[in-house]
Amino acid sequence: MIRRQINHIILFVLLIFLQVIFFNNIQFSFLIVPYFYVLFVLLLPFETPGWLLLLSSFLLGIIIDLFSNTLGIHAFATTFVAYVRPAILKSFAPRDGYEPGTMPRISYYGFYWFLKYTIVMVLIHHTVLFYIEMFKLTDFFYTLLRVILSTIFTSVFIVISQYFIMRK
Amino acid sequence: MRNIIDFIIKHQFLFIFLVLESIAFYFVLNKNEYHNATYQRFAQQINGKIELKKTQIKQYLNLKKINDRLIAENEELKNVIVIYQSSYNISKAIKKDKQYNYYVCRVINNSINKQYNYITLDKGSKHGLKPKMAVISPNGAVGIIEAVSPNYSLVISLLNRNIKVSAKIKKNNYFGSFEWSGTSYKKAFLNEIPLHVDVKKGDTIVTSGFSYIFPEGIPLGIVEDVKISSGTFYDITLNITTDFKSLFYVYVIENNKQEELNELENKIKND
Repeated sequence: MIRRQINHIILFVLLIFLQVIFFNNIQFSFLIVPYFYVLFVLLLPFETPGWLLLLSSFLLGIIIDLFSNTLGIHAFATTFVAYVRPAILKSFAPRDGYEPGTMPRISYYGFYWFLKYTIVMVLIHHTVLFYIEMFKLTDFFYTLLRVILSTIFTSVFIVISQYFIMRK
Repeated sequence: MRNIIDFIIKHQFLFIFLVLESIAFYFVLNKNEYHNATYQRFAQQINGKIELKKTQIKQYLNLKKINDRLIAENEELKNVIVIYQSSYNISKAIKKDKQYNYYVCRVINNSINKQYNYITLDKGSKHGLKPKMAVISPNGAVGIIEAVSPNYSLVISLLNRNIKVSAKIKKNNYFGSFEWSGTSYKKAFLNEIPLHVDVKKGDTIVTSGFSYIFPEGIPLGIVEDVKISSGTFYDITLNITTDFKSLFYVYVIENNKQEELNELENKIKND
């Protein structure tokens, strides 16, 4: 159990580094800005208590904010996606629920399940994030385009990353 | 109290979420210049709209008061208009063709309570005044100079049973004869208006200019009452426009062509 927690703390720090040093700097255009760090919220164990889920997500968001000079925006979006995570997991649950001891990973529940889960979570996160960033509805469709393109890229990165890190 | 705590613990997930989101949102609004500016603008807009509605409602509730005030103001302005209009007409009449000269005189004696009222002015023959000149005030006709001394002149007021002025209805030019009622300094009669003439309460009566004493168009009175008593003429009661009780400065009008006209007319009479 303790090894798992340490693993998640390492993931936490690693994702911040990756986001700040790598992903924040690969903007293909203004339209596509992948926010890879949301992977942390995705990979938390099923049994994570609510307060820990919310607090760790908030903390992650705030730290990303501090590095990208957008205080509050990432924290808001990440906390939001953490809040809806239990409901989404419930709606994607297999017929007899999640087995105890398993994690929300490709290795346990398969590629299609993980892809679905990733796209929905990332879409929610990016929608909240980009609209909060715009903060007005005048460029609604332009922002929507940014949300969709960035969601595709982030999801692709996340799914690919599952084959590189954290094998079973 | 315990119930509330129980409730919060039961829904701790939601409450933590709300608290964290509030903090995040607070940061968004206060630590980001762009978001802060947008928020300020939005808040200002909302505030402005609310203020506007508030003012509109207030205005509506105060309509009666505003209305009363406007009516009072209107009345005042109407009075001012009457004064200006009459003085405008007078100056127009005076300046026409340089046929008329005018002198400004001060009233030094005036009576309104006799049957034969006279007014004394502070200028006389030394200043160029002669008998048979017309005297008017900004509001309308006042009288005719009867006699002059070197420094003073005596004016027959319109409030005199001996005076009759040729008058006409301003709107249709039917002419009659203006005569004081002898009962009040505000009442006069307009005689010799035939029954087929359209005359109503509120019509303005002005001098006709036929006597060559008064220029045409000096206000005399406003029709107050129209009656048909007998014969072929109306009995028209007028409200005199000149306020004889408050006369202070008057204008004396000299008709430069009066002598010429008199001569011409005397010729016809003599024939």
